[in-house]
Amino acid sequence: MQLFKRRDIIFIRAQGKKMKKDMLIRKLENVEIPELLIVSHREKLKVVLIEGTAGMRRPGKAPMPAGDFIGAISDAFNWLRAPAWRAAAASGLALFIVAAVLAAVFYVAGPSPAVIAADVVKKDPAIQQRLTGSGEIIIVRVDVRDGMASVVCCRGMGDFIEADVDMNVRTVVQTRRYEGLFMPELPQAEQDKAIQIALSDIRVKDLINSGAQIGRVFPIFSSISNMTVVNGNILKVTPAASQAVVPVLLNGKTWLVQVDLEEMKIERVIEQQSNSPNLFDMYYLRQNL
Amino acid sequence: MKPETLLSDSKLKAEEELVKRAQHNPEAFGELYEIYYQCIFNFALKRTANVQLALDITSITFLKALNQIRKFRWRDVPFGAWLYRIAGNEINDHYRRQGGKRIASIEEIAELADTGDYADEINHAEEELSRHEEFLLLHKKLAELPEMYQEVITLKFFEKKKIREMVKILGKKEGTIKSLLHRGVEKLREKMQ
Repeated sequence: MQLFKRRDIIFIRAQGKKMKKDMLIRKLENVEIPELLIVSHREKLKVVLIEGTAGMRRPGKAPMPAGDFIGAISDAFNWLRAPAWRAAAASGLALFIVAAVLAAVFYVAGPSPAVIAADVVKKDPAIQQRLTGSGEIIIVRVDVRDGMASVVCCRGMGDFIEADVDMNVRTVVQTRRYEGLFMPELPQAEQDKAIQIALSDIRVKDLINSGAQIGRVFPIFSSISNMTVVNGNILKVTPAASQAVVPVLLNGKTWLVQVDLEEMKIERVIEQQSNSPNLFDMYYLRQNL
Repeated sequence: MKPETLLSDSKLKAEEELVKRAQHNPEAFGELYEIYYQCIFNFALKRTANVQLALDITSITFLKALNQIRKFRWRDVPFGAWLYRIAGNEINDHYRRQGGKRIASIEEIAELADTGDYADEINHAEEELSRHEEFLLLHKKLAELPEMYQEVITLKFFEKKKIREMVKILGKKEGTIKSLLHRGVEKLREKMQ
């Protein structure tokens, strides 16, 4: 029979404890986690949150006191949880209460001046005519000061228009056109990085092995780091490109590999269809500018 | 935009713009809602292991977020982290009100299931949840721990959050979170023996 010294026993117990803790950690890391979705609830809650405020502008109405808000939440839950036969009776009242609460949150200011100015520009027929390019009008920047707004907008790959909006009468009073200089090349190092990320995808590797070639890498930017007027009539836009598209071409077909340069990963790989819009129009995204 | 609590600078900037718009525009809040609904619901589900309760927590979270968004001050922390914090606080408050016990087991909830027009979805979700036996067993033991340990263990192991993300969500220092994780796992191990 083997005799253990006391310190050995303590050591063995400690080792045993450590192993069990390691096992528990592995179990926690590897346990299958439920990921569920209740679509109806998501849709209903959105209606309660968002659409209940539509058109509900009641100037002069005092915000609901906190206690009534709690009651409104409770009513909202009862509406969400009630069986169908009770929901028919309760839904109208609950919706009204919740909508009144939510309207009180939004009624004071209504849309911000920037939103109003952007809306005026988008709807101005003269601007719609002056803008070149195709697609929706994109508002690039809005600057509101002293009752006037300066709105820079563009459409597709066209030029930029800068519009001055009189906020008192909500009308465009002056416009200036700038030739757009907004598509700088990605630095070579970034292009190489994008290609390396794309090549980590098995589909891209297969295409390359089949004889595909890499096309010109171009940036996707989600924000603008700088916008300056150059020589009086050229608007130079410096993007902050965190993503890029690597085209892969084989036998007349193109695959577009969208990569995230910061997180060093592939967002998606799409086979461009022959009847799809121009590559640049589709992927030279100007979201959230 | 992906529902993340750790964003790159450009994504953080884009989210900041969206949040500013949402402070005055319900439709912009709707965009935030669409981005974060799923992860908040699943976070609540992992904390509570109860579909109906998770739905309620999700509803409260977004209602509170909507009510408070005009007072929300951007501090270079993703909006999702704020939502997680609201949801976590709601869950903790719920259990405190219930004396630290869950109000119903999965089986009881099945009996209480409402006949509303998404009751079928809830029933299916409950069935799906009940198949995750290992998770439910872990959760049962985890629910016996103090809430501070439940929070960190859920975020780390079930939500797969990095420590940096947990710092933003919980508003605690990295060392504190690591310490809580260490002690929490130890206590969970003791419960499981």
